[in-house]
Amino acid sequence: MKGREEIIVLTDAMLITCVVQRGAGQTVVDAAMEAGAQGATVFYAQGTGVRDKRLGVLGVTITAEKEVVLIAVPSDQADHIFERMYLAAKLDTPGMGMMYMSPLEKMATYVPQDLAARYGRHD
Amino acid sequence: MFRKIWPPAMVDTTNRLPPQHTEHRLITCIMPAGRGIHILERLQQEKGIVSASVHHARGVSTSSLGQRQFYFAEKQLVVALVEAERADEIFDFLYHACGIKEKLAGMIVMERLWRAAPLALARSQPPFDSEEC
Repeated sequence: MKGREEIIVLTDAMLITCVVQRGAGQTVVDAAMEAGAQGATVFYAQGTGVRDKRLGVLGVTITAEKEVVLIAVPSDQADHIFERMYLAAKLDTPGMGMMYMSPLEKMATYVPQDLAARYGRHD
Repeated sequence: MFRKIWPPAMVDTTNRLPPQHTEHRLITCIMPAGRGIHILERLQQEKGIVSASVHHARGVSTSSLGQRQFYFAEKQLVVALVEAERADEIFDFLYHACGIKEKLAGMIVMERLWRAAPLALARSQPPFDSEEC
């Protein structure tokens, strides 16, 4: 059996998920990057809810086409980035979207060798 | 002759529902576009994981901005629902299979779930074609 190199696993991270109307995703990403996020992933989705009856003019001003922004952030910066994204997306306005933050058990990505050597191993 | 419509018949769904709390993990893997469907096939054939899906996304990072890339990197996301006992094994498998260790390749994250219901297969339907293995 071929041995595999060990994976550098990062902990103390949060995943912020933000669902906004199509076209607003880039604004949210820009705000998150300004606040210290290292990257973001954006994809399209379709939303449904009370918009048909309660929001907008006859429900037509709230688009069902959504953009979902995923951002993994360190726990200590999570609240700051979350709040900046919230304000950028204007989520205090009814019908603009929603966002949530969930703790990550672990995550892994490319870690440069010098960085891995500098911080050593934590068991 | 007349069908009784009220009160509605109570259907016992106790045995059909998943437990109130299950030990499952959600693994999300963000990788360059083009690898997703192969990863799904490998998950199914090598690990027997069928509760997984793939979709497209666009990615942006400080690295790509630093290199003055004025276009978005096309990405694919594989999302897999796995039992907690096998979560680490599947996490490692996806890490290597998706090539996450390469620079700017993407990342993989694992979340704890409160309640989950994995994809149920028919009894006669094997989770994967055993002849292919």
